[in-house]
Amino acid sequence: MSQQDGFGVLDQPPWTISRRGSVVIAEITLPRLFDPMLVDHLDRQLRTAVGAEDDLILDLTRVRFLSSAMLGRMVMLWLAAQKRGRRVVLTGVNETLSEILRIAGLQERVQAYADVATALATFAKHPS
Amino acid sequence: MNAALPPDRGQEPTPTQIAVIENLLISSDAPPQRGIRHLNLSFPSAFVHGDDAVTLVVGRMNSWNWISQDQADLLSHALHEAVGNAVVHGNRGHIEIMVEVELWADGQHWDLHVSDQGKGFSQRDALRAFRGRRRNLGNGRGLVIMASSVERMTFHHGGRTVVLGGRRVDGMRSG
Repeated sequence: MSQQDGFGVLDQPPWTISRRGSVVIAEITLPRLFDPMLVDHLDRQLRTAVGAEDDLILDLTRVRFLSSAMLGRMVMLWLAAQKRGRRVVLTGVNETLSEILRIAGLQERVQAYADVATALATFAKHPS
Repeated sequence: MNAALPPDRGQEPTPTQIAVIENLLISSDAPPQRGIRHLNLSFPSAFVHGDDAVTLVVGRMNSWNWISQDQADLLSHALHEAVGNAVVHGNRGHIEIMVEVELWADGQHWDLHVSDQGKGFSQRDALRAFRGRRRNLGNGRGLVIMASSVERMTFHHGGRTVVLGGRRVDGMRSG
């Protein structure tokens, strides 16, 4: 993978995207997500992966720091999902990230769960 | 997520966030130099260098017991935003243009200066970014995160230098 692929010095994208039925699960594996090229790349991949009938889980268990630009992309994904009647939720949000979400005014808007299994269970109980 | 909120609610900045932007202090003067300069880093406008700089500066401040671990995490966010602004908005991603980070401190307080070589910005620019069409992409939100993560935030050199300031934890203990 070259620099032109958008991952900088990394060999692979620092995230994995999988699917459980109509729920797309994106696990971000980079502790610090600040590089705007990576943010753009992740945003594009998520927009490609999430279909009109899909919900999205963003798993931040391994993320310590997140840029305001990434928060902005999350808002856009959330708004797009809401318009389709679907959901975007977060999992594994640490205390500092939770504080950043509160500061950014997103804590009350984007629901967070302890882990992916818990989030999946709520999707099963309360389908969109 | 509160599903009861109408879709447009998600796009609106909160009154608190608007107040932060409206109260930004942007001076044309150089920033005040507090005490002595403990660190002075200069690096090319690239995120990989910015990451290293943030890790080094916050790590040192934590190891000197100037900040607690909780403060270190919040300060990392704020400093990442400041360095990101310098790289993207200030130096426009031109890797050959340098970003400078300085750490000044006296016995009670510390100041971090982050400087770029761009054209600076005005409060009107910040408000426009925050209220404008592109606000959902993060414009302006970084300023709110920075301001809310430290005790003090001021801009100098017409917006080309941001000063993030706080109180030393060890200073509070001794003083």
